[in-house]
Amino acid sequence: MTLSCEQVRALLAPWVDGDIGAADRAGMAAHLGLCPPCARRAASERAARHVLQRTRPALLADTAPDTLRARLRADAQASRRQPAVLTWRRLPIAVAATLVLAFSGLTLHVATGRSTTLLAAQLVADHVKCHLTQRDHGGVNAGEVQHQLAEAYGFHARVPESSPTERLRLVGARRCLTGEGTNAHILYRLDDRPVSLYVVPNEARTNATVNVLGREAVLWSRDNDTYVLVADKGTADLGRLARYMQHATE
Amino acid sequence: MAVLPFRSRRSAVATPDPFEEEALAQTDALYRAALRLTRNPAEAEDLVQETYLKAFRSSGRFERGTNLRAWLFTILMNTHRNSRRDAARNPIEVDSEVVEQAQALPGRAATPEDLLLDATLDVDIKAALDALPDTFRSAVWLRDVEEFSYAEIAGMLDVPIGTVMSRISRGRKLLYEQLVATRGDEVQGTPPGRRDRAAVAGPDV
Repeated sequence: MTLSCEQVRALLAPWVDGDIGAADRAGMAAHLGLCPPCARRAASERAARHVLQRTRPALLADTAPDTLRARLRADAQASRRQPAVLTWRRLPIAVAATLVLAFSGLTLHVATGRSTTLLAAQLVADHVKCHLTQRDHGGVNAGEVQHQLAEAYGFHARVPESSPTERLRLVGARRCLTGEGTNAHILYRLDDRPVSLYVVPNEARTNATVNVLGREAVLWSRDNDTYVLVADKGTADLGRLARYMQHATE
Repeated sequence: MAVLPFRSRRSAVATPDPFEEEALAQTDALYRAALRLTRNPAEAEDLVQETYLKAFRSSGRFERGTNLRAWLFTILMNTHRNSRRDAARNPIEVDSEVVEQAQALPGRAATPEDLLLDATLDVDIKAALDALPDTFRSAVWLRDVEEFSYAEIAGMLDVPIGTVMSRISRGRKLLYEQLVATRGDEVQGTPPGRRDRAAVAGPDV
């Protein structure tokens, strides 16, 4: 017997996979024939590999949800708008700064037109997905949510409280990803209908109301952060709700 | 407030980008891996989305002609590792010896192992996989389900090839024990400890 138990154990994975040289294979065979503990272990690992191979079709049957595919498409499109990101880094800072100054008017214009709809579309898709998976524990405390956002994701957003007058109930918060970056997503129910408030940090946009995918999104900016309120179309008075949110986040 | 219509024709009928198309073809595979890693559909979606965002942003760094699938899995694994680190949840490295000792079953070889396992249900296998510690679960999944090479997996997990082999080996062993325990309880209604019989000759090698 030339191989030790330790050497044999190190070769078990490739041995089970049949991915092992002739010399090692012979050494393994010799050892396993004489060492019942190693032989048992080899047999169980081979059995696990076999059962996984047999189950593979079932394990490969899970498919990604269509909402995720839609979000990825939107992300792809959004990131295609910013092909300059990598090139920017290679530019000397002075040149980059001059270019930013010279084109800031233009960039601002581009960033507020089509991309507002695109941003709203991404957030609406996220709104639909997150409300499907969010468990409703019957209302949560705004302070806790604020703390949670700060602790887990480093967001420092003011979280508007539940409001009986507005028939609004805070149910939770998560992190949301879009082509533009990471945002805070605060989830509410208004008469049991889903309402979302997104905080897009470090990005100012012009105020707008966008209708997309049967949802309404109200955007406003303050202190270089953009807030986006999303609800199903026809959910109460969204303008009034937006004013409540604006007041509460001040 | 103005209502903005979809006004750019270019955005509506954008030309498909070959890199994007090839990358997006891996959505299912990445989602499945993410689902096994996070064991939570919403978190899995976020992980996949973050993976693609990083991939799209750094597509310039991807070398055409190399393995895009492996590259995407590498980003997924890195992202998962980092998010776990950020969230300061359970450390990713577990003491594998402790796990093995805790789950080890007495030696047994009386029944043909493969026969017992052939009766195992797909749901049991998923549950058994999910019960494995992260380190072993990802190694086994990448090897036995996604069928990556040891070298590719070493790159994804950022560990040496020897470590990959050892994780696969231990992962399979734990998976087997998990399945035997599940199956044994169901079939015989006795706890695993009572089921050891005299060791018979080792299996053919």
